[in-house]
Amino acid sequence: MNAELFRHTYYPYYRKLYRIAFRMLESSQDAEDMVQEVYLKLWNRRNELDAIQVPEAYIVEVTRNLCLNSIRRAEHKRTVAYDSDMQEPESLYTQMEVKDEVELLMDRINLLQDRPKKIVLLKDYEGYSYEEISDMLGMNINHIRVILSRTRKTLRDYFNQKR
Amino acid sequence: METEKIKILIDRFYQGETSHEEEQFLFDYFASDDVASELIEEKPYFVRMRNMSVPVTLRPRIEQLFEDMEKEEKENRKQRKPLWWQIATVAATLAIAFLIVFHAMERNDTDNTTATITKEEQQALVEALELLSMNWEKGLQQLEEIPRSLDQVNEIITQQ
Repeated sequence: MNAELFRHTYYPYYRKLYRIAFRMLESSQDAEDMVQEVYLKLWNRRNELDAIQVPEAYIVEVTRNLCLNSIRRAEHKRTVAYDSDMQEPESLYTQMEVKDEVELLMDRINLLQDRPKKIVLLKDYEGYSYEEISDMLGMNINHIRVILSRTRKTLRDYFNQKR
Repeated sequence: METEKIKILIDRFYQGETSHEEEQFLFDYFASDDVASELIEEKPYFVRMRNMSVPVTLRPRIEQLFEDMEKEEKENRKQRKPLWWQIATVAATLAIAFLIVFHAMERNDTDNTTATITKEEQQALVEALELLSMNWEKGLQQLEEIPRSLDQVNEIITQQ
């Protein structure tokens, strides 16, 4: 698999991989490092990737396995008694809980009007900077900041009412 | 961090003025069990934000990684010279070898001596061919070596 096809096939998943790694490793920096590690691992195996039927499932699986390895190494270093049979089901439950929470937030964001929805998704979900959003939407940065401010407060108030 | 400072950070977050690191700090703070009671109502939103958001540093980092991969692939392709280049190099080597032998034979004929190549000339010829074949993948560098080899051979021939 050449570089162009590799990018076309696997690049779109980097945000998904980050969220998976973040939920498992509970550290933003570790999750970023992990995403890079996953892509490097796949790149070094690129001659085998043409046979992969479902690239998304494959890269997600690789990410989970590398995260589990990382967790186990960290556990081993701390020399804490570690029951490998219990760890995974607990992580799975936590992952499902967290997935529901994110879906709740996304559901609420999808109910927003078009412009605030776009801005909060680009900034908080996709991780674009203000400058990039300004270029994409053709809007002034301060105006984007004002809309984002208002939208974040709206979402906070919504979740405070739900409690 | 003191509660008052966290409140200031929270206000800046809602103004859209926080940096990535400050936002990460807030997310981690609200994910912990040490949230001040006066700030507890902020927790539900920040916990969800923590699980949803992607840092601004991630995309440029992954972009750079993919650019490095593409660069690596281009470099690997460059090092493999095309077939026509390799054939041209071999042809040039043979042509030079032929010229050396022909030159030696011409000289010997003129001097009415036996048309043989001396041992030194043979050695120089072999060395020239070895030098060229060792470097045959290196394009222009090979061609630069040819004049040097030829000079060495000519020097030996003219010394005879």
